[in-house]
Amino acid sequence: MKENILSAYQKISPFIVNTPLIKSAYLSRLTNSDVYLKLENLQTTGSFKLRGALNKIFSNTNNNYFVTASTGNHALGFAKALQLSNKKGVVFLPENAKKNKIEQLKQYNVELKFYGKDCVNTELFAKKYALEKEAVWVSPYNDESIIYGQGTIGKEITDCLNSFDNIFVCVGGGGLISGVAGWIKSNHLSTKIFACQPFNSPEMSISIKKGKIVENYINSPTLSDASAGGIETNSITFDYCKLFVDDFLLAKEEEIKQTILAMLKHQKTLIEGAAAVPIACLINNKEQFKNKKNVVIVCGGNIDIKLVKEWM
Amino acid sequence: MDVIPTKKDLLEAQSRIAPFIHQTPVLSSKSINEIFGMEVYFKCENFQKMGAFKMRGATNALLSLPAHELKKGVTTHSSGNFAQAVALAAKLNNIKAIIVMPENAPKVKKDAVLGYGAKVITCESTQEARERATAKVVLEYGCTMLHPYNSFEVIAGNASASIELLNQVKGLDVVIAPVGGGGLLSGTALGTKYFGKAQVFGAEPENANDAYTSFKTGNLITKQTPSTIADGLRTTLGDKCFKIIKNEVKDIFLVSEQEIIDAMKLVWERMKIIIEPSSAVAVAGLLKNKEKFKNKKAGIIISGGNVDLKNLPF
Repeated sequence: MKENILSAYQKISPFIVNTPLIKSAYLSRLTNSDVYLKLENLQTTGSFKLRGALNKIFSNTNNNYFVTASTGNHALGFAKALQLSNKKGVVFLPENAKKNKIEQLKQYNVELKFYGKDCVNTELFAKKYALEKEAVWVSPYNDESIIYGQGTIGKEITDCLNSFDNIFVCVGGGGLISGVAGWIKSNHLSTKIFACQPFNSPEMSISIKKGKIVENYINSPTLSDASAGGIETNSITFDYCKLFVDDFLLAKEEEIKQTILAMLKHQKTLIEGAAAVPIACLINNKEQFKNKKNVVIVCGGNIDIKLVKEWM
Repeated sequence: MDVIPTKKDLLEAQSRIAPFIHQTPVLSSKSINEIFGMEVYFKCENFQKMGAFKMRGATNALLSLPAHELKKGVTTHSSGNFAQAVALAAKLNNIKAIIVMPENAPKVKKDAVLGYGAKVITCESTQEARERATAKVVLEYGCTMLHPYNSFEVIAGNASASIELLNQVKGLDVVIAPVGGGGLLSGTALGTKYFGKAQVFGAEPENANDAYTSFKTGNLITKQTPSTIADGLRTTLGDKCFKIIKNEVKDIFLVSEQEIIDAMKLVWERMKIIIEPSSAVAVAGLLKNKEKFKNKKAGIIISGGNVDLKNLPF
């Protein structure tokens, strides 16, 4: 995997931000450990998703038309990646997609199509559409090129920090953790990998415990909207998680909310729910991680300020 | 220190305070660069200890005192960031601090000062009452009063933010900082004069335009009745700061309240960092004058991130 991630890095690094890795005085004090934050909320488009999408498009330079389905960060990353690579494509959204997400996407001059009432239906339809049009389907996570793109975060971290004990990564579909853990493990580092999820949508965690991908799991709404939802049957990220993840940790909604507010107040940075999940998990289990060097991937910052304002 | 700090003074201040402050990161954003039509670098003093650049000046002022005076402790009157900065700088150096705060100061600010182990004395909120209470502390306890901005030690300490910035980003054409009392802008002007080639600009709210008026007329305005959301800039320009600003600053830009709010929101949303209204003044000043700086490299001193989260203006 190391070679693949290096090759992804070579392709995409001129177009992405090498986001800062900062030591958090606040979290270090709170957890009696050294906490480093990889600030992907400062990435172009406000989340790490640009990395994977760019690598996927750059890995298919013979094609000119790309298709995805997403309401959130992946759609933004995909749209920006199309713009940067001068390619054409379409994003499928469910008919009830939020207005502010649609507005954000419109900035990028990407074609938007609406279908269905929920993400699963939208995705199925979009895939079929891609097949018909002989376009490249760009999965949010179930794709080696996407995973290698996200894995470049691992390289940037180890470029700055020689060794660290633990890394905390939010898991939805599992693309981010597969890439980052893949980088760490293929470099033979002893760092432990902690996969973090909201209690309300812990599909990967349950799947790994059961030994197979759970389908039709009934989840609850979560502030970690960017990580919410089930995993595709036969997703390669399931196998990577089985192979790489040392343990799963879960965060409650109230903890996610309080973490977002605490980061505003003490770290002076705006993070989204999915980024708060691994921080909350670290805080929850601080006894286990004290006096260690802990790295947290702050995966995104796309949150509606109005929502945050209501909490104050 | 009675004369304008030299290059050597600035270097000494920088190394004196280094163990007690953070070297803050410089951030940039492609979408901000597109909007501004130039390369913009944010010197993030909102990530500084206690959340503002004031930590630099306060620490230098405190550590510049002779040992026999340090033993007796320090005092200041402030409702804002300087109170916290003195309290924390004193705590880190095991010095006693007594902070005079107006009775209407937000509870969170008072709690923060108490949290740093300082003693708090409350008084009425008028300038006169604050000065009287501080004088009483000086007489009773023998503490040294630290001025929040009109002090060459404070200015020399604040200058370290711009020195760091100029080391972190090579070839800056422009550096811009907000101006209230003038401690940050004068420090930035000196740091840039000695260690860089950039032109220095100030930015001020239209509704608190004493520095602008003083700068344009050459005569220091000592009274104003400001009403601006930029709470850190409601103070009046100090004469020591003015001495530096009038010679070393290229121009001061004025911005409206709405421009401040829009700039603050823009930075929150695009940069994902929390800045206070006073910092947004500098962002707004640069944005408003972006045509002047097309394709240039500009540094903004983001002065702090201490926002009243319960009263956001957007």
